[in-house]
Amino acid sequence: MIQLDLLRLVKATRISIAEDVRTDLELDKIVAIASNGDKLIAETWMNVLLLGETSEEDVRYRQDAVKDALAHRETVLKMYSISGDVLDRLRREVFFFRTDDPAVVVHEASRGIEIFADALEELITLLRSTPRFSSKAFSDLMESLFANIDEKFISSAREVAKIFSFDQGIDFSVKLGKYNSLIDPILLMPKEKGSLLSKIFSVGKEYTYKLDPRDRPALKSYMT
Amino acid sequence: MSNTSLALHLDAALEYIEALESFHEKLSSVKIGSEGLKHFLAYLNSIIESETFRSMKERAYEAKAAREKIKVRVKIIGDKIKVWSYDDGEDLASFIEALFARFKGSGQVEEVKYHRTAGEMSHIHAAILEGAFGFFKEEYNILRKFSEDFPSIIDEGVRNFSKEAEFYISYVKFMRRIEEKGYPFVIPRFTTDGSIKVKGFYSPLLAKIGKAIPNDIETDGEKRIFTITGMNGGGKTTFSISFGQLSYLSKLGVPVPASEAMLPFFSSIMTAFPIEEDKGEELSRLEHDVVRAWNILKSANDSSLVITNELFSTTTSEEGFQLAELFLGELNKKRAYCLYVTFIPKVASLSYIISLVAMPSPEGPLRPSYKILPGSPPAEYMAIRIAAKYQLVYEKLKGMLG
Repeated sequence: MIQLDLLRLVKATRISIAEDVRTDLELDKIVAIASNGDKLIAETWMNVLLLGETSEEDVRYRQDAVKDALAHRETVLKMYSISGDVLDRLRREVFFFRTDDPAVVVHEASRGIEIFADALEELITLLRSTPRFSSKAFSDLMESLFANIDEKFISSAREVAKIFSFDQGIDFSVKLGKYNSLIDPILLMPKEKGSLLSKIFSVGKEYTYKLDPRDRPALKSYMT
Repeated sequence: MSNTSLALHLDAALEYIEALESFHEKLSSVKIGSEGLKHFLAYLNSIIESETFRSMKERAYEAKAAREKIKVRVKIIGDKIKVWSYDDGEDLASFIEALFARFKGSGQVEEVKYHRTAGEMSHIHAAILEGAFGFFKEEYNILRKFSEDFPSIIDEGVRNFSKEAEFYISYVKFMRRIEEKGYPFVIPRFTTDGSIKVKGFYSPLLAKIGKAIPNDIETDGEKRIFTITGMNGGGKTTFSISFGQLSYLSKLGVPVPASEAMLPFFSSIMTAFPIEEDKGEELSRLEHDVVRAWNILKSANDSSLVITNELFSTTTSEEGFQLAELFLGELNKKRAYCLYVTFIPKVASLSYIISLVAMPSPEGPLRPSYKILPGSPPAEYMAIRIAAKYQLVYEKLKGMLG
């Protein structure tokens, strides 16, 4: 699993009088200036400012991360830009507004995976061309990203997105059950397209039923 | 037999085998008292231990196992459905789960609500089955051979029993619905001395809506003709119909709506209730009544039950009484049983009559209690009481008119 912990927020808890502190110290004004209208930054700032019981060690951890970010300013800004873009694209292009329609869910998930795969590929390329980070926060993040994301993962993720676009059809296995029911359906990875020779050998080993062109709605209903 | 029918035939056989064995097991584990069920248990035993049943069971399970081996790979692409015998294949869902496990956090998971829309088998489903049977010839032949060797599955005796049992089961359900309202049922006992002793019998139709009033009827068998007189709307007709229904149900051998029931086994139950007068008919209603009475008298005997309601009521009270006397006298001679609902109180004075009366409620003389009790007919009828309440009696009217 990918480890992402640049601020050590996991263990910290929000202070009990958070809202009073926010108002009395006019933190909203500081956050508004610091974030320059960026909602993601504003939210993160406010969360960190209102945390209680932060240890000295955690503060040093963050200070090191900040120093590292200043030393690799361009890289960190680019990382932030990639993550901002991906969230923006998801908001614009993927609509998870219906969870009761499997066809819509599959289509939107497929589109979401494509967007993430593009972003991860860009991120990994960027990090590979960046000199090593010195802080523990960034080093751990790099290590976790390189351990989990590589070309093979990105290619597999794209393959999954492609399968669910249904351009190459959909493969599944079924068994025969009671009253002619088809039971235990399992979605299968599509087979590689065979050579001409293998196609010749497969004659008679495949049963094909062709639908009437006017019968597409029946097929659509069956697949969902 | 089509491919799809072959599999359905097998399922029918499997269901039948399981149902018969489980019924036999359950029936064997309970203490059975009735001759009918004892005979059926013995019959079931002979079927289950028969060579035919054993062989059918063995072959059905063999066919089931063969069917379970049928597994195909299907690809739906464009307007084509392709089917192969399943060899191997990587489970896509497991692959995806493993691939994206690295992103799995402890966040909220929203479940996709999937409303299955399976209905009747579609032609696409049939096409997959067609392909499947084509690849599994050996298994298909086992299914086909089973259907050929056992074309008829259900034993005729079992089939008949199921129909008959259905009658009892539906009657028990009917009983339960009424018992839930607090009304009892009892298995009737048949008397041989001519006596009747039925306690707390009621109309099951009124009981269903919780409005039945239970009544009793009793005779030692010496007197067998009952007259039911009394106030209008006091439950006389309901009483006679309820007793008729109880007598009819007792002849079917089922529990009857009463708390206690001892009565003769009536060989016939005959009725004569009022009919609408048809202006185009040659016979008047009185003539109809006479013809019906005559037909009843022709077939009545000492085990007949006759129930009449307002017979001979379309003539004068005196003529009505004379006709009733003739009719009931003949029935009495034949020792038949009769419930005679009438407005002519004089009929109740005949020597061989048991007089029952629809009683008013203790809360007021104009309100019915729906209780029918032994007693003399009332001196005045409810119609007279109602008329009196509104000053519509002869003396008052005469006084008013001067």
